[in-house]
Amino acid sequence: MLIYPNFKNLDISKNYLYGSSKQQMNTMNKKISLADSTVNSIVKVEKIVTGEKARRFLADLGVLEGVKLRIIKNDLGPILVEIKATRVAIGRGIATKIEVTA
Amino acid sequence: MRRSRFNQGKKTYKRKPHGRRPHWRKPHGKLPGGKPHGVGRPFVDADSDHTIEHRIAFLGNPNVGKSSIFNILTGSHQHIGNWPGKTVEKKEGHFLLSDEYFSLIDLPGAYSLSAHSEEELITRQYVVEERPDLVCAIVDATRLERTSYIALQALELTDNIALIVNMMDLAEKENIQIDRHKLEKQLGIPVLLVSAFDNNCIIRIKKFLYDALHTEKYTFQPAFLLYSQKLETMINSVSRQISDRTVLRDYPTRWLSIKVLEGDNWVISKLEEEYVLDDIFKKIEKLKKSEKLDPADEIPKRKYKALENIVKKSVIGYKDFKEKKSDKVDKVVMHKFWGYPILILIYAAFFLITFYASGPIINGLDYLLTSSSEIVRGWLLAVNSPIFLTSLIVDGILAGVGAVLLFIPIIVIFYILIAVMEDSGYLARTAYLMDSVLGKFGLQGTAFLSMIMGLGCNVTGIMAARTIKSERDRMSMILTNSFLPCAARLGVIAFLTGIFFKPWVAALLMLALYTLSFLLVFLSALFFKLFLGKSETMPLIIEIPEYRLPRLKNIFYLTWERAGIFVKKAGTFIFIASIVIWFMGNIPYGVTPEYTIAGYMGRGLAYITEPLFGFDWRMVVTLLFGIPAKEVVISALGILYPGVSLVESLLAAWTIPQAISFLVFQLTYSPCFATLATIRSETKSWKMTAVGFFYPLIVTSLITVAVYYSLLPFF
Ligand SMILES: Nc1nc2c(ncn2[C@@H]2O[C@H](COP(=O)(O)OP(=O)(O)OP(=O)(O)O)[C@@H](O)[C@H]2O)c(=O)[nH]1
Ligand SMILES: [Mg+2]
Repeated sequence: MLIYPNFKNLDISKNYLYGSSKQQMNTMNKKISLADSTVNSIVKVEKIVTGEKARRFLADLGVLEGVKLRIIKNDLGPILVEIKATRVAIGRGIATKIEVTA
Repeated sequence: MRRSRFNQGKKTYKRKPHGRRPHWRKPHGKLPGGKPHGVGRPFVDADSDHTIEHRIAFLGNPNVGKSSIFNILTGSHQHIGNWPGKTVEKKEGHFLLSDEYFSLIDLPGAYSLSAHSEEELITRQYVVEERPDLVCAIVDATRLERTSYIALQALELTDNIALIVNMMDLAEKENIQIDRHKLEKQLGIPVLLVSAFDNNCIIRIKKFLYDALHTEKYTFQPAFLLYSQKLETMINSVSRQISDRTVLRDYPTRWLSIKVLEGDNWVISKLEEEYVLDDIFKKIEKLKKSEKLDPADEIPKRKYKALENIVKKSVIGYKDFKEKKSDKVDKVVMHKFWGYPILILIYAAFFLITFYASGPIINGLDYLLTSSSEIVRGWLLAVNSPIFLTSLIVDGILAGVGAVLLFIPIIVIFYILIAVMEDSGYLARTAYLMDSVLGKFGLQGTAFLSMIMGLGCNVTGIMAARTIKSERDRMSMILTNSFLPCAARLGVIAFLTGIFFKPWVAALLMLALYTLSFLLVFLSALFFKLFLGKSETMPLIIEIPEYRLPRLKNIFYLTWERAGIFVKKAGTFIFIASIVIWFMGNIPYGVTPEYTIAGYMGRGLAYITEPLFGFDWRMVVTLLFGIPAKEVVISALGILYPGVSLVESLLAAWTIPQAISFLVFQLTYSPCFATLATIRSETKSWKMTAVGFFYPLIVTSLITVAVYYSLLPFF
């Protein structure tokens, strides 16, 4: 039994990084850091520029480029996000190193 | 999987190799040395005749209910609670089904099978090197996609794998429907949907495991995850290079190649013993530059993509980003401002409830013990037992063991409250809330979990420090955990404050003592930072579970297990300690207490402690006896202050500054022997163990002197 990758979406990250025409229309989609995102919004992870270790750990939790998160809490202290039905607190330090678009 | 050959005469148990097996597993089948793949474990000659042993390993994310299932199947009482990272060591248990012996192994929860943390390394080494007959991945039905990631990784590592989807009761409440057949078909492994709270789940899970190991009902043809073309080319080229390796022969080649591409340090360093992998790294670099494709990102991405597809096809009713009740509660409980008063309130309530609720129980027990020891004394005198023996039994054993029994109610109530906090999910929130506070001291929020566990018992607290990602923080938490008064010391504190002060003063004093403890831990973290050097700081990333109604059963067993240790200790260690203390306090027999062994010892030490802390010889001896185990402090008091009632004797003997000084000193002075042993085993260093013993002792002495002398003028 094989699980074929969905080739249609193969370059999902690439598309977004360079911005397809559809994306460019949406000038609303400015890149901000996760630490600046607004509560209750759903954001998409664009780029993760943390250290290697944190990056791996985030990947294990499903926080990858191209994935959507819901911001549950973002005021003081770590940022609470929902990722694939799991609530994860992410320290403010690395949250500033995660770029998202609203 | 074929039916096992079970011939009465022959004591061999063979499992047929799987029907279709990915090519890369074949070479491992006939290795000299290691057990050939696909052959089951040999017989174990237990009491019954032919018992087959099956070893089944449970793996999965933290907090998906592995230990819950493990416990109901094996009848053990492993730590269960609603926060990630309770199980830190692998635990074994077993059950019997139709004459066959099933050993279960409960592994620590892990998010993946990479080597980022100790848990993950333990898990994957177990799976590969110990070769369990079945790896059972446990996932959470309400978060199927997220929690199945590790199962998908395990699929690359082993063929003998089954999936248990737990928490179906919660999924049903959320109207999530999971199609088991579709899941089975896509993953190619047996799947069971279950809830650990169901009444019939025990037999269902047992039957499932039995079937998975025995019949043809399930086909093991684990899905073969294909990556993108570029990655596959890379994987193949690495595979070709390492296929004739002599190291890591137990691990599948394809899996190793994937790990090399992912940059797994453990795998790479092992392989580099034999190969020069430089050109592979060069290729990876090239790929990163020219194609903007980093295998370390791409591989997990592919896995999640595959999972997304699987879940899309087999789950109905799952909605992304649904606001749950939990979130509403958290709006208040984790509020940036209100969160903290609530936290303080909850913890204060915690101690006050313990304190107030246990008062009457203690008084009752005290009355019971005094009257019963009088009865025993009368009875012993009536049978003309020697005075010596009567005194040993009544003033030694009964007084010593009885005194410990006195504070068991305190311990039980305290443990119940901790268990409620653990199982409701609030504990994980406190770690979150404390992160900003602890950050000021260079610690992470997760360190708070080990501190709270330490309030129950320092041994548990130190073990819980394993989940702390930064090595320096972990060391600092291990060394300072004994600053936190464990339940045994809580007993002493509640008992003594209750004797000497009005309830509200006592409660305040108790809170002050606990604040002091926490402050010491925090400040020591700053202090140790100077010595333990820099370590890579891992920023906080922690899963916050949803609130759940605490389960009576969980709370009962958590309390039962923990408080049970104290009762057992009272019957064994304390019993013997009481006899020893009585002898030391009564030999030579008949002299005034000052001239007994304990008297000489105490008076010698009191030359130092009397001017410093105000401790007379009895107090010193008490504290000395308390070094191995803190409960002994109360026993020793019971024996060294004889009289009708311990309460009256102490009130007569101590002044208020002395009492406070004693309370402060016993709060933090030194870890008990069990804690020391744990420090040693967790740090693997005698030097650190010595630090763990003397550092608290020195700090406590300094503080006690300060407290004693600042109190003296007022009384
Ligand atoms: N509603 C519901 N709750 C469950 C079920 N199974 C487990 N739980 C709860 O989930 C929480 C975590 O369970 P554990 O068994 O401690 O989880 P674990 O996987 O061993 O966690 P770690 O040891 O931390 O890795 C506990 O509060 C359990 O009571 C279930 O089937 N339904
Ligand atoms: Mg567990």
